[in-house]
Amino acid sequence: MNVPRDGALHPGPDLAPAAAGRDVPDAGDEQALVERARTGHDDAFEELVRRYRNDVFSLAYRYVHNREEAWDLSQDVFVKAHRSLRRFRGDAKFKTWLLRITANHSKDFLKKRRLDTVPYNDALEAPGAASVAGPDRAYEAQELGQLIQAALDTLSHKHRTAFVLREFEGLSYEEMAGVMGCSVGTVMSRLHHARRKLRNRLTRMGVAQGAHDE
Amino acid sequence: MNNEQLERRLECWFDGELGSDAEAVQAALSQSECQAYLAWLRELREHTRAVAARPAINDAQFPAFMAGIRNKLEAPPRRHAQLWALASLTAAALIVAVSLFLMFNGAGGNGTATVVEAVETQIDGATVNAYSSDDGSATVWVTEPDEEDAWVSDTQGEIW
Amino acid sequence: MNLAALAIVAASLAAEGDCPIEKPVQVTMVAVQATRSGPPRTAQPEHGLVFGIRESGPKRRKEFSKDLEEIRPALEALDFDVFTKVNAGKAVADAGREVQLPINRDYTLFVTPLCKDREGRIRIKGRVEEKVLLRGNKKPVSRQALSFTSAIAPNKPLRLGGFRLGQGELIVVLSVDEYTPAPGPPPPTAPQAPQPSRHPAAR
Repeated sequence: MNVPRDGALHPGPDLAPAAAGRDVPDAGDEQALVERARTGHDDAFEELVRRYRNDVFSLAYRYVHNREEAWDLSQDVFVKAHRSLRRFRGDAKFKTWLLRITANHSKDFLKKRRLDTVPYNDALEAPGAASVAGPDRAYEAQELGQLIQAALDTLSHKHRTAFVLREFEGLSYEEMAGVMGCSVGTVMSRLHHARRKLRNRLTRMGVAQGAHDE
Repeated sequence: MNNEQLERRLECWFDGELGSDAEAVQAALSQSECQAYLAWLRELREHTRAVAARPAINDAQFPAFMAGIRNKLEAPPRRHAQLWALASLTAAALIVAVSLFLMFNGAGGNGTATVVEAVETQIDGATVNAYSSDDGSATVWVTEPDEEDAWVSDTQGEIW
Repeated sequence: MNLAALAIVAASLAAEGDCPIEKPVQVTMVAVQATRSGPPRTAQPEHGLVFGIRESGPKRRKEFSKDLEEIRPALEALDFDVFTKVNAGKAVADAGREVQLPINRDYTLFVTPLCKDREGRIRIKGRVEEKVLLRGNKKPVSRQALSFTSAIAPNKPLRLGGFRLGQGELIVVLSVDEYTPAPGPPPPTAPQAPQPSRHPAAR
């Protein structure tokens, strides 16, 4: 476990790369764009789709792990958004509103598919899986990624959403609260539970060493 | 402050969300347990970067993506908007005419289904959907969030 | 979009709503706890239909408590295996008067008949209130789990479901009919003035 030796403690590494370097649309410009889209200007709606397609697509993908399904889901999200534009009050960012639709629509989609949670694959916890790493836990990045994804898939929808929005999409707590339709306190609670459950899963997989044995 | 509360505060600090309260946790940060927990959080974040890069719809794919949205909206080209309005008006008038016909001919009753006109919930995080069945009955279904959220989301004070 | 069309449709609906109910309305409620004895079915639902409403693939035997035979057809399509009656009630109200039907100590149903449309459906508005104990509160507080407006056709009940109840879910089967007095004293009618909700004391 890598504990800093100098005693100085620093906040976590930079948030997910997805959060960095993205163009942030001007708020006023976005407001005008939304208003034009709301009044039926197709070009404005298309611009909104162009700007936020990857935010929606990325989040949808985190749920279904399949590009084709994420593609369809993302289109459905924008269709819903288009039909609900009149109800968008502008008291939240447009992106927040879109991601909220995405999370809810993905949940409904997975529920219909009976895939709300993926049964944990016990084979991933078998001694064979852990022993591949060796004592220095040097996993191939791809295998590690698969294990991480498998652990994520065992989380409930709300916990997975909290973790994905934070660690993959780089949203702030407040933005996450807007997407998930809950308070910041609930965001913190869900994120904490997600991290704890992931720690337990990954520890049993041999990917990480738990700080507290439970 | 119990372990769970401390862990949550550490996570807030780790996520850069504590703001002016950051100094308040400095005393706790020197504890070995806190250092170990923060080390785990760093490890978890670095592990998650091993997951596949952020998928994207590139510019070349965008036209097809947008076309699919338009197909699903079944929106006609703008130049046909007036024609669409006329067609909708005609359809609405037809609905009224048929309804009046049925009213004055005493039809209805056996073939009439229960309909749900509006639904709403005040449960934070819940969704409500309404469905009709082939037998003419209807269903309203509330999907509630888990109980732990109901507790936390309505907390009046600090959660520390 | 088509304001003229919308106005026509709205006017036609309003015309139906203007049709008053001549007789009092009897509201009948049966509350059921529904549970699953095993994991959800893995069979895919039909496209466009929703989990919990249609089943496909191998069927599991469903169990109904004996006092549910009358409403069994209203429950069979639901994706649960065991149905147990929780409570039942009837109340009579004039149009515009609210009736209260307690379900259990946590849930209460409120219904207000509105009018009767040309198809013979009785339009109602209703809500299910839930008592919940929230962290930081010493006593349960009441919240609106569901509010709805519906036009209920004869013999075509409305199901309200998804509320948490023990290890299962609460389902309320609601039907409304014009009240036909039976010989003898009538059942209680709705009060003239709105009454505050009566909830049992805190646990």
